[in-house]
Amino acid sequence: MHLDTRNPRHRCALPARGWLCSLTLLPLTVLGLGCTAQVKPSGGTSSASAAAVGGANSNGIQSAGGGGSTVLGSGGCGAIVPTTCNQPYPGEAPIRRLTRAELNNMLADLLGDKSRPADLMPTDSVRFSYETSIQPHGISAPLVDQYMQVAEKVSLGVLSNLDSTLPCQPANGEESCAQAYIAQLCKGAFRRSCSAEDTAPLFAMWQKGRAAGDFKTGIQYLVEMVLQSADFLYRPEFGDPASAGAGFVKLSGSEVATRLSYYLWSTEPDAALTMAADAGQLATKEGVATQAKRMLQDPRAHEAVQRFHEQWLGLDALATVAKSDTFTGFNAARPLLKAETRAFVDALFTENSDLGTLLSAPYSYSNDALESFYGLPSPGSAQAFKKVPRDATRYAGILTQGSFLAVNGKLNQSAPVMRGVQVLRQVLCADLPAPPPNLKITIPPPTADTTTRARFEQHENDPACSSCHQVIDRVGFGFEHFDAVGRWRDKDNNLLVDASGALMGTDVDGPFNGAGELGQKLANSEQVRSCYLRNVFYNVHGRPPTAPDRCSLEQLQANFKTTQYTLQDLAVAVTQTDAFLYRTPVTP
Amino acid sequence: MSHTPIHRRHLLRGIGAIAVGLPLLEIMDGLDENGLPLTGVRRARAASAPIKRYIGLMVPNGIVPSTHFPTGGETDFVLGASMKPLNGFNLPSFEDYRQDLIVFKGIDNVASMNSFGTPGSGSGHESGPTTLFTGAAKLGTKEGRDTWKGGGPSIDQLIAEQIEKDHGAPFPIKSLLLGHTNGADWFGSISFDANGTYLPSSGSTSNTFDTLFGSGNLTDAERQAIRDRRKSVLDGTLENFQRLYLKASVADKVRLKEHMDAIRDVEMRVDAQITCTRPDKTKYMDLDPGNGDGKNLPVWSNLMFDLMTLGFACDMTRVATFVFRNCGGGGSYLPFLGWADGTGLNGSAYDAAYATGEHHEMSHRVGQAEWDPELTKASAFFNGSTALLAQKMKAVTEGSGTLFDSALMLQSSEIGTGGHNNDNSPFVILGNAAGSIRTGRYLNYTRSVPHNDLLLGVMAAMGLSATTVGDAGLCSGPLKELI
Repeated sequence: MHLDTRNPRHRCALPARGWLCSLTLLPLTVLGLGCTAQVKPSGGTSSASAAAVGGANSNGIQSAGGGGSTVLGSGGCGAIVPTTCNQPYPGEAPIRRLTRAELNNMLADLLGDKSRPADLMPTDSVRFSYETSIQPHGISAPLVDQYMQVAEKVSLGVLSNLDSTLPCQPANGEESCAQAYIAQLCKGAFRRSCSAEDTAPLFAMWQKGRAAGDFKTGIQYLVEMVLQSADFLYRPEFGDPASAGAGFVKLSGSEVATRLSYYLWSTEPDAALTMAADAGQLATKEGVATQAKRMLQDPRAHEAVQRFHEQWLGLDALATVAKSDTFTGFNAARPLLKAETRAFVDALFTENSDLGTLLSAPYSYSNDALESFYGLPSPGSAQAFKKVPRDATRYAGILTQGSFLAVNGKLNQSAPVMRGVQVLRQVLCADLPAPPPNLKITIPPPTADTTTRARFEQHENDPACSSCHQVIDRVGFGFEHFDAVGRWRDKDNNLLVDASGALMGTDVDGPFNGAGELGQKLANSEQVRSCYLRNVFYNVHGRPPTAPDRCSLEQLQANFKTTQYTLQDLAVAVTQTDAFLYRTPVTP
Repeated sequence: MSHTPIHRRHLLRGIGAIAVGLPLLEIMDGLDENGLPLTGVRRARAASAPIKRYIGLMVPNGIVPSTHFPTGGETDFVLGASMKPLNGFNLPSFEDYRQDLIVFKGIDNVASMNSFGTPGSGSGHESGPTTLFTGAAKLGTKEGRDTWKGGGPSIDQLIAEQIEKDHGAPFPIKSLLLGHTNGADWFGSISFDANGTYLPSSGSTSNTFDTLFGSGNLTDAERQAIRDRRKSVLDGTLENFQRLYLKASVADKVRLKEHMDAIRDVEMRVDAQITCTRPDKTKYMDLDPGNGDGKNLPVWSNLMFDLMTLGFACDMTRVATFVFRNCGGGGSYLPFLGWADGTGLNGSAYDAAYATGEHHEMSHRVGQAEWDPELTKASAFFNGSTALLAQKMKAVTEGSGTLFDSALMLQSSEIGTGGHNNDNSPFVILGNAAGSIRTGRYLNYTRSVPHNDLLLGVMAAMGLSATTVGDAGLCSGPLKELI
């Protein structure tokens, strides 16, 4: 019965390597060399001189025209590294497994189970990757055991409410009723029309259960199997063979619908999207854009946008980051800080604001309780988050919100290093090496007459630290007006705060004073725009862009510029790229 | 290295054995507060083969050398303050288990140093947990978290497979993986399968209870119905996977195969269900370690060790791992040690604003006279908790001895000290696995010994003979001094 699948022939990589094909495309990180004053855009292996100016290689990937193709090879696994964008170049499209959130949504939409049963499972990702990532950590027996437990729990719920679920009366013929239910379940669970090849094994499973008990037992067997099957847990794509070309194949209508739906809604396509796919409307870019625009109006799309930004800046840690009890009110403020960033991102997205505003807006969204926590005047709104002005010289959009600052803050002091590192890594895509091994950290303890800044400036006096830390700390010092939980302060340890800093090794190098000026610099940086696109791409495709994605990134970049870096337009533009509409041909 | 598949035929033999197995386990001293007699039925086994159980543990952020390493010689050693009772805590200490202990010095986690592709470029918190029990350099890049992979299986998995092989049948749970992480995090995941895939640990007492006793209190007929259903469903699921597998791309085949192997592993265990009476769940409800806030840590680790002991007593598994806290920044706020807000630092002159009360932050000051006593308190707490696990296992009789007689606990930290070094990895063994090794010793190596040889020695003690584990170039063979 079992086919021999123990030795798949794979020419790409060993299974022990996390990214499989993509691994060969990963940037080579230069390790152990310490920092220079130049910060390489991550993903680049280009020379320091090119890397020092983000704009020179501003899409954050190795350009194919340069040394890229020799470093990165042909792209492995069938993805071609383009030299010109004269045909679709889709890049890799590894099979995607449902995330925990997607599984919860599917169980609610498909079977009406809104209890979020998948929350029992381990989280999908670690900080600074995305839940949608192709889960390179792989799948293990404990995880499969949990899939089984989720399926068993959900199937019991289905049985308890079976009468309202069935499209028929078992009393009028059990087998025909089972067949009708299978037809309904299969199309939803597998996200496509099902053939006899799909339904026959499902009916056989129902029969096994029927033989072990009654009609309902058959349904239990059936539902448990469907919820653990590959066609449900994974999203296979084969493309439309009629449209295959060299290194690409166009996705079928239902495959595009599924991509759209998981990208924007984290669940299966709705009826309108399915109809559009069935009617062939997703065969054109215009048709896809029409659906994307419709779907963006749905609250589920807003949720997806908020989740992206939370993961981009690692804000999930807000729920758990430890703070000293001396910050009275911080525990109560945690959900408010999260809500502030969500409301802010949502408003910007709804207004189709631009990326620069996200990083420099002189306003936020808050309510009385949160402004009280910040020590700011009450906006006169007990619950709802309303727009509140912020001093443009002091604040910089999302980066000066308490969520980002508290997550990147110590138990009871600010954290210039953490804040600097996150801005450089996540906003500028700078490739910073981790601290060298055997690092003895010797920041001197504070005395009555030192500020946090003064202690960290010790880094610059120590040659072992200075090459990296002058780059990192000078960005982080820009936030010194904000304490461990993100509240404004004029003084640190009773001494006036010095929040002057500098950017080094970026396309917007130079000194700045305070977060407000830092935000302005970032808002005008090509490197920041490219980095943001890189992160968006990563979230949408479950992997960072690699050399074969050059054309898709160029399409995104051109569109981003034309639309003046606006967020909603970008969300639509994502669906118009080669990477979204095509895939590499599947050769079993 | 892939595990040896255990075929259904063997498995059926195992079931037969269950039916005629002798009820060896009758008393569960001190474990069931509700007075329920927890009776387990142990699978039949050859009387000559002693039961062995392995537990791997990680403590975060290194140790204090001056209070961790004993003074004196191999057998006349004197333990330091880290292994003595912690004032104000009702915990046993390593000193209570002096004769069951081996303290090691001179064992280096070279695999950690060799991680990320370049020898010498590895660094403590990022590569320590992944390498600690695999002996293999960590794959991926330092900051590329999506590329994180173990370089091979951890020894807890290898040992679990060997024990099942010797046993002739799988246990209901291959290994009970408990820890603060509750998912994927390279700062707190220490177990990896043959693919180098991290194995998720459970940080929830409630979920762990359900894992152990979810199918408790059922009639035989109900259990049989579950077995039948699971087998049919998993068979059908596998067939579905196989259909997709045939059509999938080469790269996706690798992913799908990993999933199918995992399904087979689960299916293999369907028949191995426990017959222990389900204890009362009340005290195991809804307590987790908290991520940033370690206030619950003493209560949580105590309950987790209860559950681990129950799992062993019911013979749900013979292997477990435990991570006290994730290592590295921000995760180890331990106010119960008197560290809240920098107060309670015994009159330290340090500014309260600086004394963060956070274990990782403090660990950077190791070697400074003001901080070593505080860090030693943390070590004494972790070591005392491990001793508590020993105490719990010792309270359960098994045959003519106790569960603890079967145990070998291997504990270390992802780094040597808060200086992020990977030399002098603070390995400690507690328990002799049914007399398989000689304990009551201090093994102080003056040469550098890659920890691979210690892992090999432990594997040998657990019945798994191998010449290499992890990176072969680091292996000279099982550490001879263990026996």
